[in-house]
Amino acid sequence: MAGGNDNRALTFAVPRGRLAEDLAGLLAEAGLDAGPLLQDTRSLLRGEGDLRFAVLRNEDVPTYVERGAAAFGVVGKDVLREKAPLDIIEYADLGYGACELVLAFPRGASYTPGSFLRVATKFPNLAREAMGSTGFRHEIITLRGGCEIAPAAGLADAVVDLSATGETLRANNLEKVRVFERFTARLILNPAAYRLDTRVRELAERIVAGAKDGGYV
Amino acid sequence: MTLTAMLPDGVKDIGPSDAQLLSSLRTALLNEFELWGYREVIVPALELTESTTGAEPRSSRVETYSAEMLYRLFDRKGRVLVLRPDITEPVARMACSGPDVARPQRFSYFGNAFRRRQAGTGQPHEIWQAGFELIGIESPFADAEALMLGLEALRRAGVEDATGCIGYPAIAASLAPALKRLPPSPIAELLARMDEWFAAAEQGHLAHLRCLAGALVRGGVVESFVFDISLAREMTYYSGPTFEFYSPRAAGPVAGGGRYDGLCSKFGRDLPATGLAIDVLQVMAVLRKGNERVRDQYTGTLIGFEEGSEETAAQLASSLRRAGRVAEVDPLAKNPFDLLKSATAKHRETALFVTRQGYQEFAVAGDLDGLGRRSAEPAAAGVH
Repeated sequence: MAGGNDNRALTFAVPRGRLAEDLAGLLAEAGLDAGPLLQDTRSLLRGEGDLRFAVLRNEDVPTYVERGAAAFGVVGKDVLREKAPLDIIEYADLGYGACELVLAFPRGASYTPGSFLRVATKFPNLAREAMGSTGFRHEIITLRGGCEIAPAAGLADAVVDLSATGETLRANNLEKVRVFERFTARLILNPAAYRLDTRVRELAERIVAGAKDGGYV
Repeated sequence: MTLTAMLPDGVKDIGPSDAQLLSSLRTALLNEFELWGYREVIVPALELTESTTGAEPRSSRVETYSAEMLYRLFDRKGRVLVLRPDITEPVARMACSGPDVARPQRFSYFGNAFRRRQAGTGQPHEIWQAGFELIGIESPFADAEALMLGLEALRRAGVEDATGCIGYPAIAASLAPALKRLPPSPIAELLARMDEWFAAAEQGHLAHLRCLAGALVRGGVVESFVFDISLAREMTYYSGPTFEFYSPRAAGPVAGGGRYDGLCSKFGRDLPATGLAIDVLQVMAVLRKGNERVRDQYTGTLIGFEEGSEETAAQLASSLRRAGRVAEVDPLAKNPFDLLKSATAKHRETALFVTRQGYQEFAVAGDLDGLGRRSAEPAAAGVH
């Protein structure tokens, strides 16, 4: 099951990139060996013994957990919302990795409500829902990444994107005109593993306690 | 792309080996249901859209049901039809449309159901369910029966390590956030502490849950169940306790169900009801796990013949069939070697090659795949 047979190592799906270092700190706070997480290696399945880490793209984490390839995962609430519905247990808000979903225009541009916008985004479902509340008529252009350059390149009039510090937006001469939602990292569990394997519950509790002790939440 | 490679999303062909397993599960499960008094019914795959509340979104906490999950089509009058997303609703509709016979009614079913999934999730759009509905009893004993029968049926199907999980969304809804985070607990602990945990819940629901848990204790199956307040199957029709079964060999539930007292009134009769559906494809995956190379049994005889011996071969085949034995004629194998190769691939137990002089019989080396699991029996008696 679910990365969670009693005689098998538990698999923990973690995102690489921005969230990984914060997560390593949080896991260390929980008394777990997070060393493998920060190894400079190309191997993406790391760790020995009871717990191993699958280092994945952010948006693949829920897939691993839902399909039982990992018992645990850490992923942004933005991804959970984008990919819903998911059959997972959203166990805890880990408090870190905060970012916001914003609508950004090229600096100086102004559009009146009712005008038609081509909106570039990595998050088509979130963007569709968010844009519905703006009064702009719009068309969503889904990109795999780097949508900040879409307006300058003439592909889109605006972007709906995640922003933590606003730096990327500024660097691309965009200014945020609206904040739709704020997101943080979540601890998610495979439901079958959560209900069958007490180790999963114990570890999840340790991680939540670690997040509290470390002042993340 | 060739036409054979094109299939709609989320559906697949089931080859002979899996079809045989599916069919044996059908028999085993329906037989177990029958032992408890459930009679099989067969309902249409198409329903009017008004008869369908919604597909199960398979979502514990994250999102609610969405109508995007239904496959819809039109009839000639332009009415919208749906391919059934589950079988509970059609059975409930049927139970409400016939003569109002003696209650309770116990129905079982086996069939496929269709749910659109998001692209790229690897989830099947066509699922196979073996289930039962117990209609007309409000008592928690009906829910206990559903759980005990579910456990027994899963064991019968080969999922001996199944664990049932009970949830209660109507109680969960009344709890403070901290209590919604209770970890899964053994039934004994639930019984000891439910009054303290669920003080805010409606007394009727509490009494129902207590009685259900008590029945599991008396049934001697309490070790096979846990209670988890976070279990919320968001199928809109559930009104009381909800159920899921898991196996350590499966990533997702192997069965699910619950009490749905409000559903029948939609079809004109106010009947309380409870039921459970076993996810047959999940059960098959469990049975295959660790046994990936176990094939179907070697059965029957493959008959080949040299030119001019067709008639003798046909006679042999019919005498075998009269004796109740599978006899497949292979006009393509021109020599014993080809015949044996073909018989091995087809998992036939023996091969007969007919010549004008008589025939040679071969026991097929069933362990060619390295398993040695075939029970080699002597060639069929009474044929020579």
